[in-house]
Amino acid sequence: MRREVPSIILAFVGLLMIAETFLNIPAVASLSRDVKNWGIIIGGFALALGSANLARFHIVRIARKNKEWYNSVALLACMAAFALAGVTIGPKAASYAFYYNNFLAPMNTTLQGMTVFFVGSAAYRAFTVRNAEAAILLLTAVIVILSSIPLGEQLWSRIPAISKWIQDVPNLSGQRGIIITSAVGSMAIGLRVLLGLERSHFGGE
Amino acid sequence: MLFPTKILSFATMILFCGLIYYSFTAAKKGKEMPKIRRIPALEAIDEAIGRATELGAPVHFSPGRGGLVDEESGQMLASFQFLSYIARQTAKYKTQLITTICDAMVFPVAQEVVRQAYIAEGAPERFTPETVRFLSNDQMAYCTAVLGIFQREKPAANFMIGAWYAETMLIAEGAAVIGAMQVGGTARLFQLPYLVVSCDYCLLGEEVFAGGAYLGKDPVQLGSLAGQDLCKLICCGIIVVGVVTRLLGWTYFHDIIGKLGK
Repeated sequence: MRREVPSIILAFVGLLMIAETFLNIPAVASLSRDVKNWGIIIGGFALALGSANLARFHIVRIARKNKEWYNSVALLACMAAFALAGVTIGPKAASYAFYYNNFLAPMNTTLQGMTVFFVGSAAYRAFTVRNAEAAILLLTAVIVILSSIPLGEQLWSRIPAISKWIQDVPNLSGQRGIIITSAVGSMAIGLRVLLGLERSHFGGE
Repeated sequence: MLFPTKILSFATMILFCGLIYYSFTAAKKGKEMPKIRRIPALEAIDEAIGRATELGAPVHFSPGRGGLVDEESGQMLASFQFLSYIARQTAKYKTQLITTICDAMVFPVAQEVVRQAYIAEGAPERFTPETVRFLSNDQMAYCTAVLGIFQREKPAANFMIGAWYAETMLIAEGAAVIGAMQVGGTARLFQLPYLVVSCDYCLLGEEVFAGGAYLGKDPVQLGSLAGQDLCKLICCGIIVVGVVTRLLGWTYFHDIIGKLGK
């Protein structure tokens, strides 16, 4: 029963969502909307569960004085401060927005900006010519990079055209192949879930 | 009753689901299924766990930033198959597993997957709150937390299989910096190149969905894969017919597909 009941609920919800997508029946659309709202409510509980796990994990770290335990103190303090501010003054208050825009947003942007350096280091490792595939990767990358800078066209006027062909023909066809096969794979896994044959998300095989 | 613009999608779904259903029913009845080609990235999973076990270092797994109720839920479900397998292997070899989660709704499911895997291997006591960790719903906060775990706990193997977004490169390179062996995989096109260049092995697109069949050798999953191949053959056939008719200047086929597909 522990797995059968969730499987039945899952199949019902799955079929309802499929029906909503393809059938023009107001009752189905209305029920589907309700179910999605229940999902949002469940999501709220899940977030509380996740936050509790996070808090417990870091409290234990502080109690055990694990490596860099002071970071856990900072995390718990920030978590408590933001939760308290959210509950008392609300997330739309100017002071709340001030902390969000001046602490979290710049830190996010900084981290995203670091991606460029990581792309450089990964490219350096990946573009080592070890075999024919790596050589093709290197060659196409050089052409596409050169086409993006003025120097490329100065070196050889046909570089932009070759780059465009690489992106429009082999690259795009490969991408479409991946999209089609992934969609079929996704459909197969969805069908197995609807039929109760896919149980890995219940912890089964 | 059917939305007129969705007739083609509906017919395709029914046809493909019918083929996949037929295939896994045939497989369940014992019909011989085609062999799966060797997928190096899937074979590397055991190698990476073995390496971590020998080094006495943890294994890190992340199912990505997809959710259970969005367009990436298929990848998330496929990711659970990998999580289940990796959890069982780490339980068997008594290697520490760190599973980091970004989506709150995924968290309890991931906990259950790992807990059941540990129970199946007779090691329920190895499951602790540290095994599956919810880090943050926020993309960059999650990314920072994972990088912190990499620096503090130095996992020897990093598995990132699922739906990935802008954090891909940061996490994969963070693991490369500490020398972890990496197996990545995603069906998201924009992140695939990043995983290809930064991971030791990479699962491309549908290979993410084939993992369960490859690792588990379950007849239903093998049959499902055979059904998927039939669907892909149909897609290839439609593409070939489309290209040929277009080259010959016959627009009827192209027009009808375009009209129904809009």
